[in-house]
Amino acid sequence: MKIRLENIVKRFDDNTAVDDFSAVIESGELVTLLGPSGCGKSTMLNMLSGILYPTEGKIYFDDDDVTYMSSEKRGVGLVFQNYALYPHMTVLENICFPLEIKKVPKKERIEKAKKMAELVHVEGMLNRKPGQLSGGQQQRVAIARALVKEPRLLLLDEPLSNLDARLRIEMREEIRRIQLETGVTTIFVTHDQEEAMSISDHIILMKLGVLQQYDKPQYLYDQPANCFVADFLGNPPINKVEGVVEGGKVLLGENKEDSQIKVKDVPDGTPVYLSFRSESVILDNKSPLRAKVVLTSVMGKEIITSFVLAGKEVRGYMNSDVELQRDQEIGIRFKKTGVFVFDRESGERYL
Amino acid sequence: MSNKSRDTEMRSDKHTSKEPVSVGKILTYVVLFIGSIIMIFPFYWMITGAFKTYQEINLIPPSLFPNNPFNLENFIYAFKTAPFGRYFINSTLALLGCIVTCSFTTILAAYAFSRLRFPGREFIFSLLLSLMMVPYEMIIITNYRTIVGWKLHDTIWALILPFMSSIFYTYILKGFFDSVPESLYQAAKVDGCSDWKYLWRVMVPMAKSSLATIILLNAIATWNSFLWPMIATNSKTVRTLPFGLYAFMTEGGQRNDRMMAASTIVVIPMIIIFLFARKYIISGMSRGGIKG
Amino acid sequence: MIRKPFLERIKPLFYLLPFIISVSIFTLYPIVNVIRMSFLEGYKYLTGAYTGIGLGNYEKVVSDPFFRQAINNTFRYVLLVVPISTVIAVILANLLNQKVRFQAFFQTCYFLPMVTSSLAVGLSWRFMFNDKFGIINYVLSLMGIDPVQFLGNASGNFIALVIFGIWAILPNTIILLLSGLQNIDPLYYTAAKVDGAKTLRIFFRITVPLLAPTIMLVIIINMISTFKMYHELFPLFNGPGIAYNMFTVVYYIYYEFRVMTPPKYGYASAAAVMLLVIVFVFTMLQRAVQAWSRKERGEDVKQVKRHRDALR
Repeated sequence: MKIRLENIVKRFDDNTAVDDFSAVIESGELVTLLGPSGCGKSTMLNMLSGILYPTEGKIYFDDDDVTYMSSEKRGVGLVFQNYALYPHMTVLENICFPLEIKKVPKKERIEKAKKMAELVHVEGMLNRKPGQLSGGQQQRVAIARALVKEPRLLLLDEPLSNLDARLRIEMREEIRRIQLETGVTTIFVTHDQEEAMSISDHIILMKLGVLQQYDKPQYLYDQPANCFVADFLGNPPINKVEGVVEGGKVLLGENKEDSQIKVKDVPDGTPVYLSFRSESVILDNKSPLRAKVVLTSVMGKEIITSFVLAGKEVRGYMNSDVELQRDQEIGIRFKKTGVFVFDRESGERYL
Repeated sequence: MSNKSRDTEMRSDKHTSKEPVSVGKILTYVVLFIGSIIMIFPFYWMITGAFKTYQEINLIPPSLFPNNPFNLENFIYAFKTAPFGRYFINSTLALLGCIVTCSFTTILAAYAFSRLRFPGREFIFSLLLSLMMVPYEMIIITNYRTIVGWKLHDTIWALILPFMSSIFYTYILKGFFDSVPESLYQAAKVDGCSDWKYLWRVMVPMAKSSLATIILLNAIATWNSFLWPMIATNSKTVRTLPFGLYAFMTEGGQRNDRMMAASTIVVIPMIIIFLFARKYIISGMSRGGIKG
Repeated sequence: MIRKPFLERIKPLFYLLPFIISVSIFTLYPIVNVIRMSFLEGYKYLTGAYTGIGLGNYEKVVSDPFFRQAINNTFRYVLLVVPISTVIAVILANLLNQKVRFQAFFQTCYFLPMVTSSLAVGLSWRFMFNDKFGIINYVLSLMGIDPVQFLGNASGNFIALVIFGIWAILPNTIILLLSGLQNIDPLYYTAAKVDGAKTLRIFFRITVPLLAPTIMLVIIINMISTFKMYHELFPLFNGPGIAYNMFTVVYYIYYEFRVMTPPKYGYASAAAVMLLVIVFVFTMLQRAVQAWSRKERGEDVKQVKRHRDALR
C-alpha cells in the first residue's frame, strides 16, 4: 500500500511537533523515520496509526483519505518499544486477540495465529505467558500479534531499544526477513542511525519536526542534504573543520590554510565547515596541506589516525607504509567522495 | 583514625554476632510472644468459653481449657433460641450483594477516571477524595431516612443499597489502572478493541490482585458491620450475624458461656478467610489505614 | 479538528453513572442534608416543618450536659489511648521488623483483630472484664491487686474502655509503622553498626528520628479514629455505661436520632457537623504531615545516594 503524507502539521498547545511534513512511501517498502529524540518521529507514527490526528494536512492510504479515520478502521499493525503484550494472556491468546475482536471464528484464528508464530519463530512457546519470555521473544510475539490481522501497514515504534546489543542486531535482521517475506509496507521508528542504515529501503531523517532528507540509506550517507544530516550519520562521526571561503577556495582555521577544495558561487568571506568522512582522507606527504599526528590506534584490520588539522583534532583511516609517530608532520589530501562544505550558520550544502 | 584499630573492632563485632544466642534476640522473642498471647487471648477465651459449661465458666481460678472440648450445648442452645442459621444466610446475602454491586460500580468508575477523557475529570475526582474524610456516622442519619422513605427499611436491600459504591475502593483501583502502560490501550485500540471489551478482557484480568484486595476489605467490612444493620433492620428474618448476636445478648439474658458460643459463630468465618488470605489482607490494610 | 461523535463524547457518563448516582444519594446528599438540618430549629422529618433557621440546635447541644460529658470522655479517651498504643506499637513494630522466625504466627496474632467483628470480640472482653469471675480480675488478684469493678462502676468502665481501645487499635498502628520502617534504607543500620552503635542507641538515634514522620501520621490517624469511638460501648456496657456516664461524641449523635423518641434530628445533625469540623482539622493536619514526610523522604533518598557515591 502506498502512503501519501501532505503538509502534515501537528501542534500541541503552543509547540509544533511536526511541521509541514510531506512524503510518499511506496508500497512494500520498509521506511525508517530517523532522528534524535523530540524530532517528531513518534508523533508522526501516532498520526499514521490514528492514535493522534494531525492539526493540518492530509494522510492518504492508496487513494483513501484516512486523516481522521479511527485506528481500528485503518488496518494498521502496531509494535511498541515495551511490546505491550497482555500479561495475563498466553502467547497464543495474545496473537489471537486482534482476530477475536474482528470476530474471526475460533478455529480459523488459532490456525492463523499458529502460522504467524511460525513466521516469527515462537511456535514452541505458544502456551507461555509473556513474563516467561526473553525480551527478544516478547518482541517476536508483538510482531506476530501486529501482523496476524494482515494489516495494510506495519508500524514499529523503537522496537529494538529495550533489547541488549547482540539481540538488537539479531532482531533487526529478523524484522527485515519477516518484512520481506510478508511484503507489508512498514514504517520503522528509531533514533539509532546504524539500525536505520542496515534495515531500510529508504530513510526519512527528521529534526525538530521538520523533514531533513528522504533517501536511500547510502545516499543519505554519500550525499547529505545539509550539515545536520552529515553530522547525524556515520560512525565515527564525520570530521568538521571550520573554514572560510575566499576566491572559491575553502581556507581552514585561523591561519587560512588552503584545503585544496573548491566551491562555486559562494561569496567571499562566507564562514563554512569542511566536513569529511574518515575514509576520505589520504596520506600524501607531497600535499601542501599539513597536519600533525596525535595518536594512531589499531581497530581490527584498520588503523585510525588522529591528527590535528588547522587547530582541530580529526580522524582518518590512512594507509601508511611506515608507522606514524606522535607529533610527526604529515601531508594530507581528500578523496572526491565523502567531502562536503556546509554553510556554518544555515547548514546549507555548497559542495 | 588508624586503620588497624578499626579492623580489630570490626572483627570483634563479627565475633559477637557469631555467638549462637544473643540476649537481644531472646528478649525480642519473649516480648513478641507475650504480645502475641495478649492479642490473641480474647479469641482463645471466646472459643474455649464456648465449650465450657455454666459451672465451669464461673470457676475461680478459671480453667484454661474446657473439661469437655466436645460440649456443644451452648451452640445448640444458641441455634435453638435464635435463628443463627438465618442470620448467617442474611449476612452472606448482604456480603454477596455488596461485593457484586460495589465491585461493578468501582470497576466502571475507576476505568472512567483512569482512562476516559472528559471535562472536569481531575476536579471531580479530587472532590470525591475529599468526601472520604467525612465521618460515616454523620451520613447515617440521612441514609436511615432515605431507606425508610423508600420503604426498604427492614429488608436486605437496606443493607446493600447504601454500600453500592465506595470512593476509597475506586481510588485504590484507579491507582492500579493508572499504572498499566498506555501502550497496551493503544495496541488494543489499533486492533479495533472497544473500551468496554478492553476493560473486561484486559484491565480487569490484569487487576486481579487489586480486585482481590478490594473484595476482601469489602467482605470484612460488610460481615462485621453492626451499627447500620441495627438501625436499618429489625425483624429476625433480616438480621445479620453481628446484629443477631447483639439481640441475642440483650434479649436472651447474659450467660457468658452461651454468648461466647454465639460470638464464635460470628467470628469463625472471618478467621478462616484471614488464615487463607493473610498476605492480601495485610497489604490491603496497610493501604486502608492511611485513609483513616 | 474533527469533533468526536456524540455517543463517544458521553461514553464516560455511562461508566460513571452507577457510581455517581449511588455516591450522590448515599454520600453527597446526606452530608448536605445534615448540614441543612443542623440549622433548622424544631425540625420534624416526617412533615418537613421547622420553626426557624439559626444556631439554636448548636446552642442546645453545646449546653447539653450529656454532650459536654461526651466531649470530656472522648478527649480523655483519645489522650490516653493514642499515646499508649503508639509507644507499644513502635516497640512491637520494630521487633517484628527484625528478621524473626514464626512470621506467620506473629502476623496472625497481631493482625487477626482487624478482620473480626468488634462486637463479638467486645463480648469476649466483657467476659474477661467480669467483676467476679473475669480472668483479668483473677490475674490481678494473683498479683495482690484488689479486683476492679470494670463493668460495675463508672471509673472501672472507663479503664475497661481504654484497655479494649488500645488492644483494638494496635494492629492497624503496627501495620502502618511496619510499612514506615520498611521504607528506611538499611544502609543507615549498616553504617551505624560499622561505627559500633549498640541496639538501643540505633533505636533512639536512627530508627525513631527516621520513623518520626510515620509516627506523626499514625498519631493523627489514630486520633481521628479514636475520636469516633462508640462501637465499643455496645458489647461492653450495652449502652453508655452503668450510670449513663460513658457518652462519647458519636454515641451522642446516635443517641439523639435513634434512642430518643421522637428523634432529635436537629441536635444529632448539629453534633455531627461539629464532629466533621474536628475531623476536618485533623485531616488537614494529616495532609500536612504527609506532604512534609514525602519531602523528608525525598531528601533522604538524595542523602543515601550521596552516601553510596561516597562509598564507591
